[in-house]
Amino acid sequence: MMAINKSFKAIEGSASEGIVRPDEVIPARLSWKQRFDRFWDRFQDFMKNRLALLGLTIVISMIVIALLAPLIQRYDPLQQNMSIRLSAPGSEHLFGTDQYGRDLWSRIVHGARVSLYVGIIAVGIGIFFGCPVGAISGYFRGKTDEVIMRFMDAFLAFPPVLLALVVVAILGSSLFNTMVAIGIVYIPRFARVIRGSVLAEREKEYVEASRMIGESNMSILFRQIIPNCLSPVIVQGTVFLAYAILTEASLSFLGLGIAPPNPSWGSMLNEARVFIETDPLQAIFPGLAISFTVLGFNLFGDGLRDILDPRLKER
Amino acid sequence: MNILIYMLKRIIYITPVFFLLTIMVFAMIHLLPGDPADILLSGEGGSGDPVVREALMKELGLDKPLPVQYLVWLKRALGGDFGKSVYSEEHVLKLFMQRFPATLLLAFAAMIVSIAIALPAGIISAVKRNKLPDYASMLFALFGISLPNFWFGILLILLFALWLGWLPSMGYMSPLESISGSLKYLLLPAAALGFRMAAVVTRMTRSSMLDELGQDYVRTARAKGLPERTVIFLHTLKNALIPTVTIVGLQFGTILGGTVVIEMVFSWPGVGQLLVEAILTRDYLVVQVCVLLLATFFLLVNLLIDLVYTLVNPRVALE
Repeated sequence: MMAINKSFKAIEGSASEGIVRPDEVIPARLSWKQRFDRFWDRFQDFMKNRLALLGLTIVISMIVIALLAPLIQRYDPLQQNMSIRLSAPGSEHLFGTDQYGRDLWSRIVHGARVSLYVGIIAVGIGIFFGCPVGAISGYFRGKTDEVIMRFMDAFLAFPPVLLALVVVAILGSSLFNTMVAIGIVYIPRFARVIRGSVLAEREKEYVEASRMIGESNMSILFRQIIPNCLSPVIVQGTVFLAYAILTEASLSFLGLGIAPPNPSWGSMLNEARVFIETDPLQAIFPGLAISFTVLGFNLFGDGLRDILDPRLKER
Repeated sequence: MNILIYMLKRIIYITPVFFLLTIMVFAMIHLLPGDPADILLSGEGGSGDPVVREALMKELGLDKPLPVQYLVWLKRALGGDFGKSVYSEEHVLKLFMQRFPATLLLAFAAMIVSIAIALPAGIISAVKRNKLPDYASMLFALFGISLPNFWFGILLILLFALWLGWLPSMGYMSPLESISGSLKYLLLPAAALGFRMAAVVTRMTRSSMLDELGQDYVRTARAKGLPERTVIFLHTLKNALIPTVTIVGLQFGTILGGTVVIEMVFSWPGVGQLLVEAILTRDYLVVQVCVLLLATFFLLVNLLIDLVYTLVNPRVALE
């Protein structure tokens, strides 16, 4: 009886908001095959969105450049040659050379590797730790929720760059620590995203039904609810990936991220600042690379949001 | 009455968050590899005079269990004693306070710049939806969220300081000294810092304006023959501003974090510069005070915005 009442409430609840979408009323126990088919349907819409397509193109080309960096580079990005330092772009050195005579094009290509690597791992850390925590918080509610979210709020009280800086200050700066530092920044953010969806999802009929046939809480949460809450995580993940790349660039720019001589776009910009008056191109190319990549992920994320999370759709 | 209770709840709510924050900042020193006494005595991790070391251990209670140490630290911190910098021998709170006004000035200037750009851009964009001005503002917004602020800062220096020579490329002048002189130094860093926020706020203003323009009361206002200007500025904008104000508050954290990077670009003598230099020289008590006070400040700003928001829009108290 309670179950019926609850399911009525669920339907009334969504009706009072004025949006009853078919997939909200139908119990959402989908197989992964069905999920994929649904995604594929929506992907057709995505392909019609020209800006999103542009974003996808940028993202894919950046991934390809990063993967094929050793093949695309024309010189060793670390090899110094003082006789040709700060040379102008030309056929020999596509983007010119830096103050140590290192080929700028090769360094930027390798910088794509570093940026994407750090971005993906950092967001991965955020999802891996943030999602279970946020999901448990939203599913069990009550005291658990209070305690967990209060902890997350304490993390959120740090402005993002500041938190990453603190972690780097504690751990020391290295590639791995940069990824951990940025990952920690996104743990509470992912926790919040998934908690919101789980709160809505746990009131639905299929959850009630699973409970009645005696499925355990953990099984319901991880095998049924979480798969239905992944859309906002994917959408936010893409956007946070863009932010993570920006944060890495900021840290490296401050000399607290990827250590020289390793090519990171941020540390390249830091080194180029000294020559800004005489050789502005040194600072322009790495900056363009960051902006272009972040733009790509932003456009791609916007497009994904339109198809995966239509409620948030911007006009 | 409901509103008062709600506001009181919000205030009580941040108290545990604040204490968790202090625990995290306190733990920082203990998470560092090495012995806290050595870390505090020497920037490079070497140990100093054993007598001095012993005295410091006593003073900070470093020989006691961690929870006791925390309480000792918290008591001192709440009294304003965060210890002394390893290098300058100054109280770190004093160092922070010397730098904080410059950071506040920069942060607020950046907010003003961004709102001055974002409100008109967002409104025009919504009113001229799907026309050229709309596309132009949306393009601007897209670039705004994609350009790293420090790179944008470098570009601004390149254009306005080095090529055109209109503004100084870096440095700071206190507004108490000369307002116009101070503005000259302020303009470029504030623009670099506010650019991203301008983009975010433009998007928000546009979307909430579009929401409001579709409402019945707007149609009624138009139907009774009010001039379009009155409808937009007096009726629609007032309601559309509520979500905009919220996003401005949320973005303040990003601005505060952004000052760290922008201060390094423009040699702006604020807390960000102090913090980065302290991290590079391992002056951890300075790091500690900067982090704790910046985060607390951000927490308080958010609380303030929550409270203002409740007054402007009392409905949130009922939910």
